[in-house]
Amino acid sequence: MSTSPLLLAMLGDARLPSGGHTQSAGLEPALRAGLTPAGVPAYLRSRLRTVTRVEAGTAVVARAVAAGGGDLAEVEAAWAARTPSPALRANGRRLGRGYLRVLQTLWPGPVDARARTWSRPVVLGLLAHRAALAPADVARLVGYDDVQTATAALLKLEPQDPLLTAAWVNGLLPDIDEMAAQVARLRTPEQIPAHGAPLIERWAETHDTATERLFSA
Amino acid sequence: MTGTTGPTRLSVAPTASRSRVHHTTGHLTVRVMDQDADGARVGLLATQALLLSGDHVRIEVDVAPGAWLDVVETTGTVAYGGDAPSSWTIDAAVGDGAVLTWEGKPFVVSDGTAVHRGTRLRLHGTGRALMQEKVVLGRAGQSGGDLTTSLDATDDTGPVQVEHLDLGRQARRMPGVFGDLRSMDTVTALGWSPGPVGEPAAGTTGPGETYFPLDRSGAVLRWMGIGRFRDRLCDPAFADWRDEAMRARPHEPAQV
Repeated sequence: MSTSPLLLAMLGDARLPSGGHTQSAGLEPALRAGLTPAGVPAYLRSRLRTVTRVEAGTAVVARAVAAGGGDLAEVEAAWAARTPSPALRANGRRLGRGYLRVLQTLWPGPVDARARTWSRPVVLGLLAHRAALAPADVARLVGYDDVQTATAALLKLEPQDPLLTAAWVNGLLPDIDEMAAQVARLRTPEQIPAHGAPLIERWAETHDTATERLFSA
Repeated sequence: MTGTTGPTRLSVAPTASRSRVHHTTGHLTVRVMDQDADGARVGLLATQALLLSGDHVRIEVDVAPGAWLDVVETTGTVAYGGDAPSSWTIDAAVGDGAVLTWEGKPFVVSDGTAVHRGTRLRLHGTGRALMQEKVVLGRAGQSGGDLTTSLDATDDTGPVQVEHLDLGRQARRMPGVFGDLRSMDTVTALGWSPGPVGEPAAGTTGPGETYFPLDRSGAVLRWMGIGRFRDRLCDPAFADWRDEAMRARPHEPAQV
């Protein structure tokens, strides 16, 4: 199964109106906690091994469950059990509603009534099934989106040369591919990785109560 | 040491007069400290030097429907370095209306160690579990070896909390994982969602406590810090949440 390269480009494009502009991939609180701009590539590798891998694995499994006619609520429960931070769960579900609008407009069809409460990776998995996106590609999309989200947010939080951050993204592409290859064969909710990042989870909770912030998460 | 020692098994069930406590000695043995018709408070004692390279400590616990079990580790545990990895795993089943509480003592990961701590919990019906886990990376003057932890908790509906932490020397220093922190105290309530105890301070940096209400029927209070356990909230939270869990049991222990 191969994905249309243009479809993947469109879904990975920041101009897709899915709500991504409100996001920093946790970078805003990470910088407040002392992360330096030079540490951003390491921060992103760290996410690809932990929280982003959970998201990508969830999307791959949601795609497989949707393809098999299974219950996506079980995938949502598995994701929620692997996401201890209520701030990150609420954020993921807000983004899920954004992707649900994309799904219903571009790939219309019957959708479970509970889909409005599902998180982004679960809705993205359903979208991947409808749009005929290969498993590894939906995982790549999650990883790529995370990396681009953080580097784009960095340009607003601590302005850098945009070519420097583009070079970082380019340098991280093999890491994204590696992560995608590791989760592409997952099929069932129990198989979803559960790698936590205790500081990212703590920062997410702190950020949720911050009064002065540019990004919602 | 080889891994030939069998699991430590512990089960408790209510009877009309005095709860029935069964145990099989492994790396650990069990001493009953307090007991009523429905349950018991037990101490876990090491039967040999623990935790050496190659040791695989397994503790299997069964709390029958309606029973209560309060487990106390009598001493902290040091995981010593060596060629072979070691592990400490708990596998517990908690029946309908039952309560399992487990007050862990510090688990110290020495230099040169590769150790895994695994916890598997299966809750049934209205069963509740409360676990406290304190880990320290390194003895005095050390930075500590490789630690991985896993928690896999389910109830009759599905997963409640699933978490794998890679606190190996390389992985934990990555930004957002554990940084240069050295110790972690985690109190996990499953089967109900107790509120926060005190006021966990929203901190912008690493050290401090965070309260995480889980998506369904559970809550976690986690403290992370640089060195010794200086947290103010985890021990009081464990005590309060244990009282809450015990009060909610369908039949109060018989007064004698």
